[in-house]
Amino acid sequence: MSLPKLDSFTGANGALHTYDANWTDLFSTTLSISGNKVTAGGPSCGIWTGDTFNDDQYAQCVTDATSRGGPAARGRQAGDSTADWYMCYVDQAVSGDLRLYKIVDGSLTLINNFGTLAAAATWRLEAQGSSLRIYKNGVQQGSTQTDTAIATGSAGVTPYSGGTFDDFEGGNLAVASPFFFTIGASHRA
Amino acid sequence: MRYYVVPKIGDGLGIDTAFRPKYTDPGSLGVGWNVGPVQAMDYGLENVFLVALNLDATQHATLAAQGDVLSVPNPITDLVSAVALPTVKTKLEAGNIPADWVTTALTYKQVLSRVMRIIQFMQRFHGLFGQLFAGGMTLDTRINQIPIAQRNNLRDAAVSLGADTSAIVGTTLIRAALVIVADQLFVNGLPFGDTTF
Repeated sequence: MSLPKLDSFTGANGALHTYDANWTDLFSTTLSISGNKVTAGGPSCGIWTGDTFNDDQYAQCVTDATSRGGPAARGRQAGDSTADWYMCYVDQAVSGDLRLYKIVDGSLTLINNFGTLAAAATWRLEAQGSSLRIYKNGVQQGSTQTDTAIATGSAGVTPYSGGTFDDFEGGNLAVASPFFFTIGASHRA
Repeated sequence: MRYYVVPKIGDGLGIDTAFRPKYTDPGSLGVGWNVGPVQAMDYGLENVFLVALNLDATQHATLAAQGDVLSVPNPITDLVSAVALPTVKTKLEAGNIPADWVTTALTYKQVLSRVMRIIQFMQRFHGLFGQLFAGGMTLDTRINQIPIAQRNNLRDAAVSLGADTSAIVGTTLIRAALVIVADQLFVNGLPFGDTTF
């Protein structure tokens, strides 16, 4: 296994963890594959546990007109029956809102309601330190948000209120290289 | 952009009832009420939010008139007025946000800056350990009055954010400990609303 993890969910209809045992359900509802997309019948989050993510990570997926949820960052099991994760909530199906939530011990708290920005698009959620950023088709939406509740975990997808999602990508955020050239210096041995 | 401290509503059980700032739901202050985009900072498991909203003058007046809302005056670069000082302190303290340090020598921006950092520490504490103010604990509880496990939780939450807790001793009050930790956080600035604090 290696990151970034890409998954187009091309497989037989059925439980996501049957399709690939490295997808782990964090919440009470099991994710499933239907028509080569991932979906769920209720509040849910699936994280990729086939690799270890850095704390600074991203998750990305494609939404459609039915989607109510989106990419998830820093998902983790918090206790016997609770979980934590950051959720980019794209609600094209009902409100049209783009929102950012955190789920801590299974409870949802709003971080930002960006307004009616939902669309069928490629959505990316980045968690870097205490900074959270959402991108739609590569363009950052609104301003960077700050939250310190969840420091670590795995990337995934969260069909929190239903709908279908496709083309997951999750990985680590690039770290700036400390190596630099001194102009005019010789590098011969 | 205006800043407000408002109560928390919701039960956290679902999207429609998520913990969120009071008065930010469409229609919550009458027909046509819509605050638009909402930037919110929850205070962990305590019952208040700090929010940044872009309201017009009429909307602002409506929200500011609510008895359980602390509306931060504009511009935030103004000094805290003598008239506003008691209200600022009372409403922050009512939400378990220490405010004994607030004086008229500070600007509202300076007050918000420290309050936001206290809030961010409480978010980390919530994420790791749950609620701080439980079992009778108040802002005036001393560190050595807290059960050892909770004392260690406070320390570990602070250390996880890179803070040095060596200045916090047994006789330190919780209110002072929160400020000691908060003042070490976000040394490069904390963006919220349209400002970096």
